[in-house]
Amino acid sequence: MELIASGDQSAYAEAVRRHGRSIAAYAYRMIGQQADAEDIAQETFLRLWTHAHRWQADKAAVSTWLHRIAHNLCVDLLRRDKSAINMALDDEHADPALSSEQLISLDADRVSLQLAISTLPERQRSALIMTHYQGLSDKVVADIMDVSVDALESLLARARKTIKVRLLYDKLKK
Amino acid sequence: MNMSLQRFTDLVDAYGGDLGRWPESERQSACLLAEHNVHAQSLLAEASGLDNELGKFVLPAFSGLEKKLINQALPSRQPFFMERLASWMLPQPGHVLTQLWRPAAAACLPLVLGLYIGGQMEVGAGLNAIDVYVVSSEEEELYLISLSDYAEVM
Repeated sequence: MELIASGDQSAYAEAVRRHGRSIAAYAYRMIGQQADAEDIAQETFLRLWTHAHRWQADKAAVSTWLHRIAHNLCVDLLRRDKSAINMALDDEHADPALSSEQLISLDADRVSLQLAISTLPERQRSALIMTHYQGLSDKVVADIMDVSVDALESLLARARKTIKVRLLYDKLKK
Repeated sequence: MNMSLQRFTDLVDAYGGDLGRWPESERQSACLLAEHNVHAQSLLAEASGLDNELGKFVLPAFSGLEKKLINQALPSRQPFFMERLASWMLPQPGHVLTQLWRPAAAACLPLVLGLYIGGQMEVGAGLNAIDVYVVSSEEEELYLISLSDYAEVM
């Protein structure tokens, strides 16, 4: 980070290689649009470049710091544009080895899950994504979201319960 | 420390069936409880079902993302004046001077204060000097002395 703060572009490139995909994945899970997720990743790393001198090693890991920036950008986008959440439901990532029936079933499950996540309230979604998918610890997530660990656990429990009910409902409808 | 079944249930509800995702400080006692308690085991198994469902989330390939991030136009790093001043004055973290900087700064503080107070007093002296009549030539000085003598006679 000191090298980035001093303007070393190779150190910046190394940070992108280490954290770029993870940050884009977080943004995609939050927003549901690949283009928006990539824009958020770009802005996050731009801020890494311009604000690297503000990073304090004793306060947060680089990954935590980047997640905090990406989280704030996602929340800003979601509050600015309430219609931003719109999961891309195309087949571009489907495994070509699967049969069409498997593909339909898998795609339906994926659509159902991604819709269930996208309909969660923003704070529940952030808590679930950072804890479950991004692998951040409870204390780190609570710090990023500016809540207590107890409040985080409450958000997580509500998020999981909502998704469970939603998925069960979708399965019963089939 | 023993974990209550209620706390175990709360943690399952929040973090799911994979103990690896649970808070590190509570993992060991949760493992102990799960080993011997059938109800705890069934809670974990049930939560694992939802974990499997969550695992179906598919991410895009993000092809070319790294290249895009690396090649984006980065502004030149021109730190503000205060940042440059601070980085010039303060030693970098880990530098040997870091340990010496604070005592040295504390030792210099009385000197800085003295200079400041001295400066203030000089300014005060300058203000008093406004009242002093400035003599521009010898003739004028003689003239003033004569006036003074005359006043004494009076």
